[in-house]
Amino acid sequence: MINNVASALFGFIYIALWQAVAPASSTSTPYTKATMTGLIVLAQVLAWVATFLPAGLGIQNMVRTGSIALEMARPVPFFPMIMVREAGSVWYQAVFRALPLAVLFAVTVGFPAPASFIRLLLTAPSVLLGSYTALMLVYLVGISALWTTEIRWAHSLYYTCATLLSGGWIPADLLPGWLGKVAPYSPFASTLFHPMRIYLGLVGPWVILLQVGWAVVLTLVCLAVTRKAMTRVSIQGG
Amino acid sequence: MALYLRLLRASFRARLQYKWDFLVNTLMNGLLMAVDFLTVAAIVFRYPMIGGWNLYEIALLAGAGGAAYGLVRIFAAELYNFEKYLVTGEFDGLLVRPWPTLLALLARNFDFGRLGAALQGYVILGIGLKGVLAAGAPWWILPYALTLPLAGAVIMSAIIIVTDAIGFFIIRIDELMIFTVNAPMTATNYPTSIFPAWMRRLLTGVLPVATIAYLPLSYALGKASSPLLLLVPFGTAAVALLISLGAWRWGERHYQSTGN
Repeated sequence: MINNVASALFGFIYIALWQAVAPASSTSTPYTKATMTGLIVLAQVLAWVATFLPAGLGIQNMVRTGSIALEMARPVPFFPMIMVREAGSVWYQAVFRALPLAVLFAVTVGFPAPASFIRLLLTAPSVLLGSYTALMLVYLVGISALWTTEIRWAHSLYYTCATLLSGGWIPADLLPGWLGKVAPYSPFASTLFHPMRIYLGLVGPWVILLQVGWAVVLTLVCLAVTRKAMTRVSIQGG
Repeated sequence: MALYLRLLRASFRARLQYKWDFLVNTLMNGLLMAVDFLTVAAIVFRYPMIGGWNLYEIALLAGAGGAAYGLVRIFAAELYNFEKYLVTGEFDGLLVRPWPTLLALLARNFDFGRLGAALQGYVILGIGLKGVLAAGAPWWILPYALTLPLAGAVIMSAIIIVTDAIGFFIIRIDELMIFTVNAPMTATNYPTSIFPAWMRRLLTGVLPVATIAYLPLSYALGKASSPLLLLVPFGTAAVALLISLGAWRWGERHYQSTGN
């Protein structure tokens, strides 16, 4: 409950910020006061399924305690096992964190309506792809512990990129210079920026293909890295 | 105090034993905090003013708040991580020491890995000062602004101590800390005037982070008329510290160990 209130407070801060700077209406930018309020509300809610994930998915702790050897020896492939396990945790966060937060926003600043019924339907796969992409990015941070033992720096780097590029606080295409041109095509934008824009009708449905592309690429990378990791498991402690 | 300083020196030397780890940690912490300001800077890049404050003026707000937060995370590291003491019952061990528990906690760990966060705050403060001085701000803003992170660190520490004191009753406070410390810290990056009235009251009277930089700098930059605003950070720091010490003593009297 306190977590939801804290999340809402972050949301109110950014809503106030965008209310202070964004135009009331404009033909040159889609990011008006009303749109930005909607984006911030959606970002706060969706962050619980695509941003606020456990650091390294706990893989670094397995490496530290040595239980990684047992986990990898199970008759279930390691990567899908971790993904399925974390999917349960994400589902919990969706029900007990994101949903109450959405209700809190609905009764305070209002929850944005989808651009259309079709957009609402398209948002579901987009959010799933976003969450899956975020899980894989965090998985890669976690499995790096097999080479580095601990992931503090990798996690900091990931969190830095996610904060700046995911479009949660500032639309990725509003970032200055070349960053604004590149950021919307990064995997970080797949996690939050695209699902929000799909819902609000700010981008064409084609962007789901971009999300699928990143999901496929990252799945292949995760599988390859996991295969490599299996050959170099080193156990900490005795 | 002599013992405190000795522990401080020992902690710093211990950190330097792992030089590479210390350097990278400092760099990463600074980078992480800089991203907060990058987000602000990116917004100001698009929209030149936020609530009548330009990029350099906002850099002063973000720099003072960021440096204060960095100092707190270095010197009051265990106050911020107090939940573990309550959950594991480790606080029992502090009660039998011949020191006040608060002092024992402060001396227990100095997180010099957070040096990057404090330095990053001062760098942004410096950039802001250079900009506002070039634009004609009074010269005294330079020494004055450099003291703001110190008062801010005391104010934030006081907020953390009160949060810890609540922990004596509810045990789990990590999430509460996000509400009382992290969210208000984000708000210090921006002029408080852009927030709705209820939030302005919250950030001025209850979790008084607006007093760290926004109120005094409003006068220093010619946006407010009362010079008394310059005293607000230091007055707030003194009052907040007294309140927090009272809250700590009150909470400590009601502490019930989790048992071990």
